[in-house]
Amino acid sequence: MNGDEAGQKAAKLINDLQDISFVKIALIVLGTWAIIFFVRRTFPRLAQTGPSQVRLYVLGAVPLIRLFLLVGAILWIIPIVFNITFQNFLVIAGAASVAIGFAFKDYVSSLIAGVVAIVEKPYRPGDWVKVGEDYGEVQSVGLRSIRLRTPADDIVTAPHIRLWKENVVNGNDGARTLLCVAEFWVAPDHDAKALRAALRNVAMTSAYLDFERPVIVILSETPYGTHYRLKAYPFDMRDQFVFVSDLTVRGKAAIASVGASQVVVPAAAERQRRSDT
Amino acid sequence: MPEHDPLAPRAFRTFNTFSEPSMPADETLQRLLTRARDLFARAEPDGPLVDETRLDRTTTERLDEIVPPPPWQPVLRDLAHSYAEWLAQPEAGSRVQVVALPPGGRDLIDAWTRAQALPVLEAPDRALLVDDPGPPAPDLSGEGVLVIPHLEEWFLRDAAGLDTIRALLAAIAGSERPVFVGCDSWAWAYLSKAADAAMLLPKPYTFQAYDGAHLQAWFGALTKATRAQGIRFRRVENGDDVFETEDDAPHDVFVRLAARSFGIPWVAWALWRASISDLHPNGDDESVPDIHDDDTFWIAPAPEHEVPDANRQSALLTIHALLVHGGLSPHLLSRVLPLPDTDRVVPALVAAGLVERSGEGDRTRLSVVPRAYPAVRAALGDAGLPRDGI
Repeated sequence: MNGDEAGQKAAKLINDLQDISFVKIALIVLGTWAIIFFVRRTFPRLAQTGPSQVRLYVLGAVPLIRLFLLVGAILWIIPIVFNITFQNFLVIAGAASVAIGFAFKDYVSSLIAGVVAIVEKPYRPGDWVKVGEDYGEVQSVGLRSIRLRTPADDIVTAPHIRLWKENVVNGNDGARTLLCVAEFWVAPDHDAKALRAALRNVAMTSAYLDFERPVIVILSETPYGTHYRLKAYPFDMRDQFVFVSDLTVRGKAAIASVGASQVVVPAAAERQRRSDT
Repeated sequence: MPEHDPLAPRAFRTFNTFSEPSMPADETLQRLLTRARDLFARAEPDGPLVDETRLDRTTTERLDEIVPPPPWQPVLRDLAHSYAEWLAQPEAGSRVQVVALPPGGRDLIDAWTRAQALPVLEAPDRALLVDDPGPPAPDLSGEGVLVIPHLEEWFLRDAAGLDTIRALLAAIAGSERPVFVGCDSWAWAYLSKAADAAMLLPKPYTFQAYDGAHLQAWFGALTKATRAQGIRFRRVENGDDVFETEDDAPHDVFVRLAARSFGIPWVAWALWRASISDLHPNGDDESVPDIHDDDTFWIAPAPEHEVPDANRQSALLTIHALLVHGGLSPHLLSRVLPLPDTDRVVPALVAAGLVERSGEGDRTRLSVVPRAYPAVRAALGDAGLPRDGI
């Protein structure tokens, strides 16, 4: 292939400069950016001020809208810049593959995982998820990564690529609430039936309880005491920590009220328990 | 009475068939637009015929003459009508009858019980419910119908406060005596889960919703004497006499009032009274040239109540606790809430017109203001708190 032929192909691949409307491209980019900016600013505000029933739907619409807008903008701009034929498509795809393969492999993998995440919804804005060791509320789902706000108010940015390699634990999966567990270890010599009923009462009388959902008390014997798990749902998952705190405070009183006493698990036993579970 | 008479008593129906009147579409749209306007701080809408600044609230004494209490008067007729047959022959129907009423209807069962001269099983002092040992086991012995007018007063949302209600429910289920149980609808929703009330007692009944036609007929009857003196009730937006309708359809004011009050008569009664205003005697008459010399009460939409934004979560939990218990003393309210700031939240709610105090000293009771019930119910629902079944 000599230089003239390559030049002709290049000229066919990309439209003549005088035929490319840079103003139109700028308007498309600017318009898309403006709408995305508007959506990212207003939707979280609407979700915050509006009814909690629709909060997660409003938040979850942000990444979807952004994806559609970006794809639409790209599909609109490509014919303005490129002379789209099947041959040119192969050339562009080939060039893009080389660039992606060498320079942006992880980045593009994250982008693709981001699209998969939007479709499969392993996490949505507003969900409480655990990715690896990171647990928190999904603040936003970007094209490359998600932002989690942890209970310690840290922001963790986790690339979508972790979706390929790690399990994602979603506490509420789009629901308004999630299961909370308050745990107690009690010295084995006590009236387990009375304590189980007392702990159920503790949950049933919490101000944060969604009493439309079940309350369960599970107990099991362990080498270091009787392990009680009080499981219940708050009416709003944002209250999960105050809810568990409320259950714990009043659960301790309930344990004392039936004449039982909590046990302190030795550090070695705690390590053993963690390895067992 | 003919069947189409809106004031004719109507039978109570099962709780879950309560169908609240719907808001006209334009009102719904208007409310959405208002909310959007508030959100984006846009311009104010067009003003009414009579400017709100020229309106004075009518005094309570005058209101008691125009729209006298009790606010549940038509429901009392419905209740008497619905249970007359059962009272005559309790063995012919279900031995236990449960009536659940929305907040504000507390005195209704008492009035009916007095009118029927029925024996009552009063709830123990609520403060005793969490004592160890608690109150003595409820005594349902005797013959004839026994009334337990306020089931919501038999528990306290505390880990130690459910024993008495459970004992009472078991006693009712195990007794052979006919029992009539009255319960607040919010308390019923809670007790159905916390004390298995829905399992131990039959399905509760409640009144049929009061739509625009029923409200217009009721308020028309209440204001009949006033209107006979030539006094008119005119809508502030356009000067319409709200009791003068050309066809059989109720006036739009009452249709909207029915929707806003969820069809609950005592809420509608409170909103209706709040909407009755007087015009300043020395006001600028030019804005109402044709009707300024009438002896007129102006009907302006009752002000919307709002839950304070500051410390909203505490405010909502406090209101919810009051609704679930059908009202509480300040001391017991603090006990059932995990909040350190109840002492500060309650005065804010009272100031906002959402909560009212009644009684004095140890007998002080806090409860939700009926007029504010639509606002607090919406706010609690928006926040995701569990609500009653109505």
